[in-house]
This record gives sequence, C-alpha cells and structure tokens, in this order.
Amino acid sequence: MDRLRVVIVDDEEPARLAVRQDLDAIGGIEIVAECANGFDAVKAVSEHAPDLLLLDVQMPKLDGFEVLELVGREVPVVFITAYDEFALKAFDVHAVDYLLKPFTRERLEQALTRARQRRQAVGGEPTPVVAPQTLRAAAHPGTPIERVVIRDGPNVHVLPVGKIDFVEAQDDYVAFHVGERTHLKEQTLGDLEQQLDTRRFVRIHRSYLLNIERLARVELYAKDSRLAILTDGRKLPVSRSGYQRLQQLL
Amino acid sequence: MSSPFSQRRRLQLYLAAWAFAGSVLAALLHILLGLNWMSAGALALPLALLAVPISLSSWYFCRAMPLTRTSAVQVSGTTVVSALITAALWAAVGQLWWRALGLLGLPVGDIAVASLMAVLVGFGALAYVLSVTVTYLLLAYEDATEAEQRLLKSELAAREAELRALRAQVDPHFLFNSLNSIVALIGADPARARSMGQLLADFLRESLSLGRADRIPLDREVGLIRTYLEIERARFGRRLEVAIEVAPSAVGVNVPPLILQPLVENAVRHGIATLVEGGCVSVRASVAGERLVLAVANPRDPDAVARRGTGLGLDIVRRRLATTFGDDASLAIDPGPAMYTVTMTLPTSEER
Repeated sequence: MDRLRVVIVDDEEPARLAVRQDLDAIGGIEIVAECANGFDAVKAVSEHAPDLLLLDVQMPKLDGFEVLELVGREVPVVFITAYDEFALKAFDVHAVDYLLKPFTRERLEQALTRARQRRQAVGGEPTPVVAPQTLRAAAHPGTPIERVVIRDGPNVHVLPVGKIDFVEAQDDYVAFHVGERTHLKEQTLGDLEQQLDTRRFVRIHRSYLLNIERLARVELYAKDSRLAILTDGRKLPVSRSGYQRLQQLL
Repeated sequence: MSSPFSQRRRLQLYLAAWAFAGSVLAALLHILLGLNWMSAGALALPLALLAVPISLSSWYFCRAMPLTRTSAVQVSGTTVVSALITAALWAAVGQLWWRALGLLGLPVGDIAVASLMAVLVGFGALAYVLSVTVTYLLLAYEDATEAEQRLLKSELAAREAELRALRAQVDPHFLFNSLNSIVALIGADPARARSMGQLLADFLRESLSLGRADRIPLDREVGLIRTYLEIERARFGRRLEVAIEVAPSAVGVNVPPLILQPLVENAVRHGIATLVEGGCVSVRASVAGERLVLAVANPRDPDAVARRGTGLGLDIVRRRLATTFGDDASLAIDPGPAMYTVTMTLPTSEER
C-alpha cells in the first residue's frame, strides 16, 4: 500500500496535534503540510499536490467550503468539524468523508480507507469533482453569498460582494471588476448570478452583471439600446430584457 | 386597607371636615332660624363633633357594598334610607342637646321644634350622602393604586428571574470547543490536557459562585476573565493576545457578576476568531469621578460574515445594566472597521 500524502488544515493547534498523532499511530501516511488557515491550505495544495486534504470547516477569512471550491478539482477532501450542521453540505460537495470532533482513531482510519478506495477507483487520478457552483449552493443553501473567493496561482483573493462593481462574462471565465482591478475566475455568469443576491446584482446584459449601487443612470443612445452609466463614469450595454429587470428592481 | 380609626392622618382630615361642617351648620341655624351666633355655635359644634364617628361609619358601609358588585339602584336606595335614618337619630340628639342647653341657662329663645328638626335632618342627610360619596372615591383611588403597585412588583420579579436565568448561562459553544480541545490534547499532550481541564473546572466553579452573588468586586470578575482567556489561548495559540489593565482605584469597585464576561467572549468569538493572524483583546477598567468605566476592544475582520449569536450577549448586558442601574449606567459600541470597542459606564456606588 503506497503512502498517502496528506495535508492537515485546522485553525486550532490542539486539533492539528491530535490528527497528527492519530495519523502517526495509524501509519502509512506522510503529512506533507500542516496549515492553520485556508490561504495556507490552497498554497500547500499547489506546492505539494497531496493525495488528501483533512479540512476543518470553520476557519477565519476562508472557510473549509471555500477552500474546497478553490482546490476541489485537484484533491479529495475529508472534512473535520465540531458541528454537524455542515454534514449534508459536505456530502453534497462529494467530500470523501465527514468527521465530527471529537472522533476516534478508528473513525479516522475508516475515512482514510475510503479515501484510498476512491483513489484506486479512479486509477490514481484525483477525483473529478463537482462544479464550483454546486459547491457554493451546497455551502450556503438558500442564502446569497457574501463574498467571492478567487484563486490566482498560489494566492487567494477574498472579495466581499459589496466591493464588486460589475462582472463580465469572458468565455469560460467571469471577470470581476473592482475599481481599476480585474479578477478572473472559472465560472459562468449564469451560475454566479444564481449565487448572488438578486436585489443587489442585476443581469443587465447577456455578458454583464451589475452591482445596482454602482448605477448612476441609464441613457438611451439608439432605438432599443441603452447604456448604463456607472458612478465612476464607465459605460455598459443594457439589453432590452436587462432594462426590464432594472426597471423591476428600481 | 385598614379601618379608618387606625389612620391618624385620615382622622385629622375628618375632624377638619367636620369643624368646617359645624361652622356651616351654625351659619345655617343663624340665618334660617335667627339664632344668635353663640347659641348656634353651642348647638352646632358639639353636634358636628358627634357626627364624626357617624360619618366614619360610612367606611364600613362602603366596604359592605362595593360598587363593583352592587347595583346602582341598591347603592343609592340604601344610601338615602340610611342617610335619613341616621340624620333623624342625629337630629333627635340635637333636639335633646338644645333642651339641655336651655336648662343650662343659655338664651335658647323660642324656636319651633319642627323647624329645628327640619334643618338638622336636612343637613345631616346631605352630609351623610356626601361622606359616603367621598369614601367611595377614596376607596376606588386606593384600589387603583394598589393594583398598579402589584403589577409593578410582579413585573419586576419576572424581569429579575429572567435576568438571573440569562446570566447563569455559560456559552455552550465555549464549553463544547474547550472539551474538544481537551479531548484532542489527551493523547498528544496529556500535561496540557490536564491543565486545560483544571482551568475549565476553575472557570465553571467560579462562574457558578459568582452567579449567585448580587455584587462582586471588579477584581473577581477580572479573575474570571483571565481564566476564560487562558482557556481560549489553548485553542487559538499565538493568535490570541491579551492585555488587561485595571486601575488600582477600580479594583475594589462592586459590579454585578458576569457583566464583563459576555463582552470578552464576544471579542474572542466575533473578533479574534475571524482573523487569520489573530490579535489582541484588551480589557481596561478605570474610575472617572463617581463612575466606573469598563472597555473591551478587539480587532476584527470587517468583511467577515456575522456569526451566529451576534448581539444576544450584548443585549443581555444592556438589559441587565438597565434593570440594575436605570439611567445611571450606559453601554456604547464603537464598531470601527478594524477595531470594535464596547464601553460600559456604571456608578461606583449605589444608593440602596
């Protein structure tokens, strides 16, 4: 049995200590990194390409579900948390397993076995994972998201949705425009639209999602075509159905 | 309400009323029957004095026939009949007294018995009705005041019970998280597990005993907070720094127990726990004039989504301050983008 290369992510040191000790006792495991927050976890996944992520859910800035959203395509995840309210979501996002603290060594061993089986079933390839939007919908059912997480190489940006001016569709990506800066994320505009608060973000055009607070006015510039003028002077096209949606909201 | 004879102030009131009534009666006798002032006074004043106990008896009359449980017809009928009977008896006594005055040598003159009786009965009956009416009014007023006081008292008792229940609560999340840390450390670092278990036991013992007290010196509250923060440090490690500054003059000031603890708990839960690098929870206590100023400050992630339970702890503290000190205490929140500060001001001594 080849060694399983594992990254431990938990913001509490006692919890990391316990997992490390259990893994040592179980054997056949190589701990390639221990991370105290989600940012380090994303970085560790890029650097070490581990076989498994043991991931806490409640962490500052970037929670476990957000980490999974950023790295889920590359590595299988076992969630470890003190709260059972995330269990259903965890299975929705195809986590390998879900451990409730405090857990026994046997229970951890079981989760590791499951991870190995999953790995063999796909011939050593990382588990193909669900689309990010499914993740997000699972992580926050019914409630619009408050922030967007974007991965930029080993770096992670956490973007509060209130800071987004507008979002532009670019092929398989969406571009978040925040002031002068632009962040790219692999997602479709339609998926994003469903995650955001529909009272704050309006699909004014097939390719544009606008933060309603940035809208200064709408101008008619040709028959049936309008322009949204943003508070900073930028102009975006408004489609006929987009204009109807705007009118409904205002 | 106790019987009227036992209440000195009320008795004085009645006497004053009847001195006034005596003078009125004397004036009536003077005007209607042509009695000279001296004779009228000699007849009227003792008679009026005799009427005091009679009119006081209206208190029993009114108690026997409470307005709420007796029909208006019955009340007015009974009042008029007893007024006439009482007035007639009283007038008869007056007649006798008039004769006696004549025998004593007072110049009583020549007055028809019938007209004297008419004046006395008329006056007596009216005065009786008046005193019954006044008594009814007094009784109604006292009932209303009493009911209001009972209501206030029961409200106060309910609120105190509620607050007692609220402050006795130790945050279950804190207990749960601490227990998990202890379990995690048992295998990996038994010595730390043990010391953390001891700290947790200390914390629980102290919060139980403080919860029973009415007031505690500030340094005991601060001691509890130190224990609490030490337990949390086991979870958060270097992410949690602590700065506690208590001015010497503030150490012995009495405060309601567990008034600061929820604020510190919030500072950790909604502040430090949201920050990757953590930060410093600062607790400051000082005395300014007659007031104790307590401030808890913590850095926080301005973008963090509010966690469960936001505001409940603060709300309980605010309500406890209001019930304990009224307008004498205040709680101010400065929700700066990076630094969250709660400042509490309460009196250093209380008039009790």
